Amino acid sequence: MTPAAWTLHPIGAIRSPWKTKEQCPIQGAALQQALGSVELDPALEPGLTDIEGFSHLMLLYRFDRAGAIELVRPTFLDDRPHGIFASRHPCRPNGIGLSIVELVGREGTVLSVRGIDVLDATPLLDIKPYIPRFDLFPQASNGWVEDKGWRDKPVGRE
Amino acid sequence: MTSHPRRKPEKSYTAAFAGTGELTLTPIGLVESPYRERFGVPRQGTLDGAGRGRIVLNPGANFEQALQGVAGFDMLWVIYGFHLNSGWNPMVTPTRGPKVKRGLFATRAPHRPNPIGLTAVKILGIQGRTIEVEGLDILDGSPVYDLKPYIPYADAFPAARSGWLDELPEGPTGPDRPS
Repeated sequence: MTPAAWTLHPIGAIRSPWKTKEQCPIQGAALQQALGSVELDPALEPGLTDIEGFSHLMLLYRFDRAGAIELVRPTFLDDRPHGIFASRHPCRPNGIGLSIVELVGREGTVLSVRGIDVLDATPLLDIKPYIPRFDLFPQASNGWVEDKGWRDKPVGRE
Repeated sequence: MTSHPRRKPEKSYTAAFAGTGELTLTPIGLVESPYRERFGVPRQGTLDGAGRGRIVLNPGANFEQALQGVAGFDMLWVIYGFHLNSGWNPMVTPTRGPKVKRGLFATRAPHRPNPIGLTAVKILGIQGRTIEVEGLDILDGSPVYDLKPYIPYADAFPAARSGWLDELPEGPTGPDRPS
């Protein structure tokens, strides 16, 4: 049974220093030290048992302030267009974001994380532990990103 | 869920949302895999040549264009629905190690409040709107909601610790518990 459409409800919120899209850094470099937090629904606290043993977490969230979907578009790192499935850009079908962050502490249902590239008050959909056996592929190619130097976000680019 | 005692005052986690927070997903395609039953699906991500299959995106949606540039990457994140699962519990017993209950968010168990799956697969080739892949641990017919390139600078953390998995006597890469 494949659902034609399926409605998800947030289980918490991601808090970060990034209040606007302009402030929010491009994923990856230059944000290693950015501190934020993940505030989970207090009713789900038992689900966080054992989580402190993991140094990194995968956050799935909703790009709730993304603009219109464009299947081929210039990205933050390149003025040439790329297919949306070859990019991590927010304006994508289904609007789900994925960020991997470092877990630095927990108090109840509030997780302190480092390396956050998510807008403040973003709806959280799921937390998964980062498990190198499944998720670590250091030799994977960087595709079109490989020869892109780092740069600031182009002004006005959604 | 409300029966769990609260140790701290409730946070304004919902008031923090900028929007409604609700998200309606529509599949962009389907997984074609050798795994037809939940019990037959291997634990994820072994990438030892197993789990060959295809991701077939929907026709008539210009998804061929949306795949431009994907072939330049080796690996792809697949975001999909655990569509045969319903219900969840905040504590689960993983299939690895001793029979101990763990916090759901410290596991990759499919029974979750939002049962979204996330698996990194190896790209073998792309033709039109079909991607041949390896390393699938996904049930045949699972709905696909997104594909993202695996980019090592954002996704590879070689020093990451695996919590309770690291503490198992057989190590973090051992086999499942015999049933």
